[in-house]
Amino acid sequence: MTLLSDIGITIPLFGRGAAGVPSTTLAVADLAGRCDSYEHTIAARGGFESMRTGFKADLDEAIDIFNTWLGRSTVVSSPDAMTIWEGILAGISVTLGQRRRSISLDKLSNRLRCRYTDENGTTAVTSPTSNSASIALYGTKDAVVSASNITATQASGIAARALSQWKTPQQQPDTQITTGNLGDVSVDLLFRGWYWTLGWVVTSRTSTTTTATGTQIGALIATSGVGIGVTNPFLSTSTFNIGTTGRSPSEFIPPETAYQEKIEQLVSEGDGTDRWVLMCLENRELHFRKWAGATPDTIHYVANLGTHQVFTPQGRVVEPWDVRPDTMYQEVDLLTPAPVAGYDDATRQYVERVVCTVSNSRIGVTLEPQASDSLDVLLRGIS
Amino acid sequence: MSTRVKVGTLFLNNSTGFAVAGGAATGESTTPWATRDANWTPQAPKPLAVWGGGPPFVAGRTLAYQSYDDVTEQIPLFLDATSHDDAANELQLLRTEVLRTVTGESTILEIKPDGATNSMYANIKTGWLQEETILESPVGGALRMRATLTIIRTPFFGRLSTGETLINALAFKNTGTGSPSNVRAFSAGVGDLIYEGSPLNCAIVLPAASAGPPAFITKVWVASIYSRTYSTTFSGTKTTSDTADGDVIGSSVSVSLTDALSKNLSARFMARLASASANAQFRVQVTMGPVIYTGPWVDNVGTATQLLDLGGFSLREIIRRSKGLTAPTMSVQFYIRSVSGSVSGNVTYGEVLLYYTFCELNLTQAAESSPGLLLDTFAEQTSVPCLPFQSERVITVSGTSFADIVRKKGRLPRYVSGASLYLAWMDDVTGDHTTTEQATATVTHAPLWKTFRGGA
Repeated sequence: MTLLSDIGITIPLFGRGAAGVPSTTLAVADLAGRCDSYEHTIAARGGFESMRTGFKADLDEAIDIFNTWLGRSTVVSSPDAMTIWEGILAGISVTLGQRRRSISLDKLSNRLRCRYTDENGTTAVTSPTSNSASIALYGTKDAVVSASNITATQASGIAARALSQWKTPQQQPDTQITTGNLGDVSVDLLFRGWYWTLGWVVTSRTSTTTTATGTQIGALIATSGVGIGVTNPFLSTSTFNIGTTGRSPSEFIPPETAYQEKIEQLVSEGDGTDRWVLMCLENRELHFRKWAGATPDTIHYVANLGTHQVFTPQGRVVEPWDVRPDTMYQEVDLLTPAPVAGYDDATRQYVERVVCTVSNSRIGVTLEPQASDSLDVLLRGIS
Repeated sequence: MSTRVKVGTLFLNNSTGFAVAGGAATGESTTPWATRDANWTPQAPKPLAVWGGGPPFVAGRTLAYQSYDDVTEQIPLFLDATSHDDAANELQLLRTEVLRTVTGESTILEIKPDGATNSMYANIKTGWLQEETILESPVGGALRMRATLTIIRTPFFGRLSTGETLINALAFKNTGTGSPSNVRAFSAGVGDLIYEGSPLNCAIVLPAASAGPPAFITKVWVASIYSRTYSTTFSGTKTTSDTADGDVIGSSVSVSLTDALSKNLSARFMARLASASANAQFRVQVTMGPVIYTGPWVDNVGTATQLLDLGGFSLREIIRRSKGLTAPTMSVQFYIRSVSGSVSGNVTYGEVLLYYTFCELNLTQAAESSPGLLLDTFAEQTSVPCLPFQSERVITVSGTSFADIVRKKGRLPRYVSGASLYLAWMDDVTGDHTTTEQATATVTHAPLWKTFRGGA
C-alpha cells in the first residue's frame, strides 16, 4: 500500500458523462493505492483550482490512459469521508522512457467564431461553427479567432480551419532520443476545478438593466435564460451560498465574452468597501462571500513553529487536506505583547491559496498569502 | 529438522537436514537446496515514518504518519548437484519460479521455523538468484554450489486461504439501541498489527429498502469504533426560518472523552430524523467551554425518516494529558436552519461515535443476497496468502462473481484490539431510515506478522 492509501485519501475516477456533464459512474474505484504523490491547490479566487497525482504504469496501460481518460472527473475524499477536492481531468502526461507525451483540454475548441473586419473596416462576427462529436465527448468549448480586411466567406473559412485543428485535444510531444538511461513508464494526471469551465463558453447580453450582483451570478450559472448551464450544465445552480453585496451593476456583457470574465468583473466590484471572493467548492456549488480579511481578528488557523500541524485557535488539529483559503492564519509564536492592527502584520496573514502535498517524504500544507497588495490588484480583486 | 523455506513449489531446505544432490526441489525431503545459515530468519519490515516539527524550535519530533515498505530479503543457499548441467537446471527452475509474478500470480514465500506450529506466507514481488562459486569441495561425491537468492516481498506475512472470523454472520439492527443494535464488538484478533489497525473483509447482506424507487439501500456507513453514545436527549422538534446560524434543535448531550486520553480517536456525529422539511439543513456544534467544532450544514434527504452524517473531527492534541483534565467531556448540540422559507425538523435520537476509521458507501445496486456488499481489503481464497491488496475497494457480489463497484469515501474499517463495528444504512434517494431493519455481517480479519507467527 502507498502512504496515500494507508492514510485513507480516496481518489475515485468517474466516467465522462455525455457532453462532458459530470458523471457518477465509477471508472476507477480508487487511484490512491498506486499513486506516488498527491498535491491539490484551493484558491480564494475560484475555489478548487488544481490537483496533480501520478503513478507508475506498464506501457499498455499508459497508452490506454493517454488515449481515453481525458475529461473524466474526480471527487477526492479525506480519511474522514469529507470532500477535499473535486474537478475534471484536464491534462495527462505519460513518460515512456525518454519520450514524454502530454495531452490536455487547454487548447481544445469545438465551437468557433471569427471576429473580423471587412475591407470597409466594418466589424462582424461569423455564426458559430461546431463539431458535434467533440461536443458530445467534452461539452462545448468556445474560441474566437480574429482577422482583418477579409470577406465574410473568408472569415467563415478561417473559423472552419481552426475548428478542424482544435476540435480534438492537442498533444505536446517532448522527444529526446539520446544515450543514457531510458527511464521508466509513468503517468501524471492534472485535474482542474470546475470553476475553470466557466471560461469555456462565451456569451453576450445587451441589457443594461442594473441588477444585484448575486442575482446576476445566479442567472449566469443557471440552466435557463442567459445561464451557462444551457450549454454546459456542469456546475450546481444552487444560489444558497451566493451572498448579497448591495451592489447592482449593469447586466451588459460585450459580445464573445467568456462567462468567467463577466462573473469575475461582477466579483471585483465587491460591496463597494470590501473585497468579495467567489469559489466553486463541494458539489460544484459557488460560494460568494465577503473575504475573511475584512475581519482580520477572526483567526481560523494557528500554528506553532515547533510543530508540523495546523490547529484551530481552540487547539483542534486541522489535517493538511482540510485547510481552506479565504481564512486568517496566525503564527502564535510571533505574537507581540502589543496589539498590532491591520491584516498584514507579521503574526497573521490572509490565506489566498492553500497547497496540500502528500508524498512518501512529506505531508503538509502551504498557506499562501496574497501575492500582491498593489492598489491595482486590490481593485481587480485578484492576486 | 530445519526451517521450512519454500518459494512457490520449491523447497529451499531439506526436512531431513541434508540436501539431496539430484533430488527434486518440489519435495521437502528430496530437495537439493539448503540454507547456508541454519539460523536464517526473515527481516522485519522497517516502519516508514514521516516526522514533523522538532529542532530548532522544540526538542524532539512528532510522528506524523507511518507505513511500511516492501522487504528486500537475502537468503544464502547451498545447492547440491550431480553435475554442472544439473546445477544449472536447478538454478533455472528457481529463477523462473520466483518470476512467475511477471505474467501470473505472485510467487508465495512460505516459512515455517523448526518446531513452529504454523507456516506464514508472503508474496514475492520480484527477485534474482546469483550463484557465487562453482564446484566446491565435493560432499559425498556431489557438487556443491553457493548461491544467494534475493527477493523483494510484501512487508508482512499472513496466513493462508482464510482470515480469522471476528464477527460470524451476526445481525445488525439499524438503530443505536436495543439488542441487536448497530454495533457489534470484534472478537479478539491476533497478529502484529492489532494496535496499528489490520485489514478486514466485511460481507454485509442488506435488507430491501421499505420505500422506493429505488427499492434498495443506497447509503451505508461503516466504522471501526471505540465506543458509541446513543441518546434521545438530542431529540426535539423545531420550526425555523433562520437562514444564517440556525436554531438549536433538541437538547445538548455531554459525552465523556476520558478514553481519548489514551487512544488516538476521532468523534463523529449522526442525527436520526423522523421528518424534515425539504429546505432544512442540520449541523452539529461541539463545545468544551468555547466552541471547538462547528460542522458543515448538511442537507436533509427527503422529508421522511433519515439518518444524517453531520461530520466529525480528530480528538488528537485537543484531548491530552493536561494537569487536572483527567475526565474531559464535550457538549454536543444539533442545529437546524432553512435554505428558504419556514422549515421544521424532528430529531428522534443522536449518536456520537468515538472512532478509528469511518466510511460512507454509495450503492447503485442492491446488496440483498449473500454475500452482498463486500468490503474487499485482503485476498481470501484457497491457497492464497491473506495479505492486503494494494488498494481497498468495495463491491457488490452476485453469487460468486463481481457485480458492481461501490463508491467509498473515508477509510474502510480496520481491526484494532478492543474495537467494534458500527453499521448503519438508509435509502438516501427517497429518504428512508427504518430502525427495525436488520442486516447480517460476517467480518474476517487478516492477521499480519512482521516476522514469526508462532501458534496463532
